[in-house]
Amino acid sequence: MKDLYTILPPLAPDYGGACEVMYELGGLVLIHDATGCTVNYVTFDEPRWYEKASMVYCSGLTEIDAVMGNDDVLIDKALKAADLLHPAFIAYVGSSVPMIVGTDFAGIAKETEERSGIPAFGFDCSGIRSYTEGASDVLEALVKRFCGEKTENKGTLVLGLLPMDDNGTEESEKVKELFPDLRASLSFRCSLDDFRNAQNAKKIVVVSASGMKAALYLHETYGIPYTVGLPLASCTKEHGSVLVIGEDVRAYSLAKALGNASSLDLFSKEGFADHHTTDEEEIAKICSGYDNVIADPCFRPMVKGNFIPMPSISVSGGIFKTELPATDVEAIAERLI
Amino acid sequence: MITDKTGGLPRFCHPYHGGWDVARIALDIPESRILFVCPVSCARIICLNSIKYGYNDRIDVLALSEEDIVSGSYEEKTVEAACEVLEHLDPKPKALILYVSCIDAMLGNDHSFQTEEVMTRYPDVNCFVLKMCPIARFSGDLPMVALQHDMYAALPEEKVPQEKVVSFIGTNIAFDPACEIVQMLENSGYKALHIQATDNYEDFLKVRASALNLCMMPFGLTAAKMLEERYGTPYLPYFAKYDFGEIRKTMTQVAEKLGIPVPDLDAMEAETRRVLRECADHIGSCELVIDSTAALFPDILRSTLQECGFHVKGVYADDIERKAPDTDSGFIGMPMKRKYEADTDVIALGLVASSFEGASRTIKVFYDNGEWGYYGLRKLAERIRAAYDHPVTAAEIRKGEVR
Repeated sequence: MKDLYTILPPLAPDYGGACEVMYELGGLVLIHDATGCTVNYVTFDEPRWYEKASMVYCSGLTEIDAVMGNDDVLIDKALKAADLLHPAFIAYVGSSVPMIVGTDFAGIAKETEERSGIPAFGFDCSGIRSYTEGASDVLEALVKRFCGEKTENKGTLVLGLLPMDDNGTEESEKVKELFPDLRASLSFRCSLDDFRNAQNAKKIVVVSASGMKAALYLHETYGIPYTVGLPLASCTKEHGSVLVIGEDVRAYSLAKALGNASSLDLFSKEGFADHHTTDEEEIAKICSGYDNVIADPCFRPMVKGNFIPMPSISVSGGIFKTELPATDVEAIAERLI
Repeated sequence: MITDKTGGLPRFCHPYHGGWDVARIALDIPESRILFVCPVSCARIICLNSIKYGYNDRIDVLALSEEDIVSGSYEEKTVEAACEVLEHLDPKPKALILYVSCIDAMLGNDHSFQTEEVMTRYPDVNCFVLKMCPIARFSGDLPMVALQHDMYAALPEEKVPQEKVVSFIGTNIAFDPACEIVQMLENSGYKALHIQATDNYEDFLKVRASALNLCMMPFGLTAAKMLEERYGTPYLPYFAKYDFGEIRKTMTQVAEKLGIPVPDLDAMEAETRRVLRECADHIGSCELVIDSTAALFPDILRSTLQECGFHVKGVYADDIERKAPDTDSGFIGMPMKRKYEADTDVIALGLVASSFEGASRTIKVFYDNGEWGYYGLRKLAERIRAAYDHPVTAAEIRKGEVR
């Protein structure tokens, strides 16, 4: 039955992706929920929680405030916290209950900014969309707000690199190393100044679907050329057919590097991958057509052929060990039959 | 009703520890299975915990779309999903729990149609609803309170003859058979029953036959009252108090209620004090910090430990003045500073305290690990000694849990 998960865990949601982009930027981020959504994020979706401080908090939404549309409580909390913490910006991130009651996050952000003078954003996350959609909305909004005049033309700007795409920060560091002329990666190991100067990049590389909307905006506004995909070395080994399951651009990049491979995207309805679905029956059927399947360990029960585990935070939340770096094509190829 | 204790500030949410989320607690009901019916994100932490701790074969998720919610079509879809899950299972579970989340509180659903339809199609399955609705924490019961109540409310209403059984309710973790309360009961011919300690649904049904219910945590009091009203079973609070006077009082009350002999409490207390003092001598000047996810009543534990020679640096809790447990578990104020290096030579009782304090020595414990009374204090001394002799940081504990 569609939408019934008996094997896979629910995948990382939009509010997780939204918060991941803002984690290092010095903003006050309020997830508008009762508590459960924020705990979801800090427990399983944000590997940086234990290594670096960030002002991500829960609004503590109550039933009465949700029913009465009492948004002043939310704004007052944000402004009180801002007085103590002096954030560079304030961002409200939605969840499932605000989606039900139709919370006007744009209006709340506007009022916050008018009252405090601090740049403010409202993101209509719902807990229903994928993390790449939440991250994409935030990246686009931040570049639109903070990019200024173009004064130089230098370096590569990486868009859409999130630890959630990988199995933690160590792997994301390896992805960064693929770009020797890196100017900035706007959602990992970055600052708000990197957003303010993003328009000065010579070229853009989009490494996940999260980066597409921001890349298009920078391309259309500043004429910066962009490419999509990780610059991975090509596989030299002969092997049977391969299916790579994961995030759209990442799965597509690895499949292209391996050759004789297809990709299955779990997070968007369309994109670069050959398949886009989260339906368990459909995935199992697709997997049965390949000699090798590369995917998060959660998919193992669905695969009858050679299974190569490649955990990602977006699926299994960091509960599995990394066996193979996602950027090491030769090491991955060694496991193929 | 409780009030928001954040002082008008946003809430700081610490990563969830201990693995005892609402689903795992509900699955204490033997031979049960859960179908979550919610937006996909609500069940993520539950499912990942279930994979991490190895019970994912008892949980399914029906992910609701915005369209399902707005159109109301998910009511039919829930029945369809529940029946599909049951259809493919052999043997069938004895109980199917439809677990709903915050949006259900907003929509005010009546689930009787769904549960009745499922039970009509599968008459041997007890289908009922549990709620994971933290949004209702100020307007209704706290999630943990509602959970304990609704789990036991799912028992058949029919009364059964009373037996020599004492049920331990209100806690997710079964007692250790070696603890003094169980010894006292069993020495007098009573069966001590905790549903987590059994794989048989019949034992869950046997809660109805209890001569006495011992409520292990304040969260369970509403459930205990309901069981008293429905089956006439008296109850006594048997909370994890660490005060020697309280332990003595509770043991005596239980014995009096059942008309059974009181064991030699003087000897038990003297031995427990000796063990604690010996442990305090062993760790010397090394300080302790305690958090309220580790100990149900952290401030009372602090007093007892200090009385026995320990140096307690502090307690992390939402509201320690009330000398009551944190009813809103897992959320510890809003610290302005956190530490990221484990460079402080203290023993942290609980992963939250460890994280805030930067403790080099950490004890992973959640709600006293179900270790109450004299036995609990002696086990705690063992854990403190082990943490002192073999230091482990919170980060190392987390790393060790990666599969």
